[in-house]
Amino acid sequence: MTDHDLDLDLLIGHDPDVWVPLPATWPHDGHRAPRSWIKATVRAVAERSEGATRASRSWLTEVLSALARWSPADERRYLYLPDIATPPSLLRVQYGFAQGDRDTALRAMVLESDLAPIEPPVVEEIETTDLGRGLRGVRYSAVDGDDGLFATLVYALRAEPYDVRISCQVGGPEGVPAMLAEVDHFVDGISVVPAE
Amino acid sequence: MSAAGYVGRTAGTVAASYSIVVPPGFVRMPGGLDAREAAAVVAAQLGEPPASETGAATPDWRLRFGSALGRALAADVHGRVLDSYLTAGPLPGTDVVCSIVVATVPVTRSGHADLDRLLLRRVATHGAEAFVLAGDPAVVWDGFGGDTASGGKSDGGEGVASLTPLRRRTVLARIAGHDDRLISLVLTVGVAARTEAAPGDVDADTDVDARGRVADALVDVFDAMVSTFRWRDAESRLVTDRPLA
Repeated sequence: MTDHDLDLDLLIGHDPDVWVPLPATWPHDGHRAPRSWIKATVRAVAERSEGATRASRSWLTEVLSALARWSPADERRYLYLPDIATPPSLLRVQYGFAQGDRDTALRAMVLESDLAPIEPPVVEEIETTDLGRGLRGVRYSAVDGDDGLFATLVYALRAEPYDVRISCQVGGPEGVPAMLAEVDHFVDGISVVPAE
Repeated sequence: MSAAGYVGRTAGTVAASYSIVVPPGFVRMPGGLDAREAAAVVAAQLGEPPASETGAATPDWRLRFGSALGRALAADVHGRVLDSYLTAGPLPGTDVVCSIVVATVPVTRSGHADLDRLLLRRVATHGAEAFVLAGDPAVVWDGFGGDTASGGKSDGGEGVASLTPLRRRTVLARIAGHDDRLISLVLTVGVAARTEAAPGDVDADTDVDARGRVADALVDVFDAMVSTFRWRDAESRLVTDRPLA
């Protein structure tokens, strides 16, 4: 790595009407602690939702409280939450310095997971505006105690100096087509810029 | 339950069973059951008590599932049905029901008739399209004409509430590692008996166009289900054609 590489950062341009950036450190998004951030976020999501109820607000408060307590390093997390009644999807952007052969590394990022798929995902090539070509797969897993399948979208890109892996938990297979469009758009909004 | 994992397909792969992704709203009925057993199995999946001895639950049962269930059973004239998948009564807001019957078809081989040729003949005789089902040669065609793999064109049979068929789509395919049988998947979309419409169901004058669109959508669902069809080997591992790394 050169010093120049270390001065680069990931810029993630997201649509704030559908994605809620989750805190990695505090202060976050102008809030010094989880409490005020959770309150403000619940209010913002409820305002853009028809039929927000007291129950749905308290449910979202619980979800955000849990997520605010969990802050893995080298990872940025977003919650797909266009509406308080829409089942949220957790999106994770993981990145580290690029290592090894590009194609091998990207395939491994799409294919390998803690949650074993029922079948290896079909790996497709995607094209992004700023990061160039990458790979995408849809993984389907069987979850204990549940008859259904659990779908996860996985993207892998080499954006020098980083390898970037984006994964988004979708829930049931029926949600895949709609979320593919959303997450494709999200991934297209990622770029590498000089760090401030 | 966790899956038993997957394994790459090789020249020596022998299918022992299959798996298919079934959308919500369908119930699975294993083959080889008589009508009473089948009713109990379906009822258990629906979380309802099976028809009691007193028959208290029977009328509702017959109205909701009778025709599709009876049809699926009647189609299994050779007892080769592996599974049937039935909509849990008419689709909400419609009087449309559908069944998918998965069956094996024994084939006698001879020097003049191999299985690939048998499939290809469907292209000429039924206007079938060739495709690949879980890595094996297959054909698919629409319509009611001619014989179907799972027992012909019998329309239900005695004692079965009438069902007006709207669509039928048949898949016939080779089975990995077997050269003495084929597998068929038969979709039948129909209108539940009008005279026995359940209370609260839409009346008999459902828009014909709307019904057609529902039937077309079910054909699309069937094609999507067929795309998830995979063989499982003797250890119940899913057999995949996809690169493993």
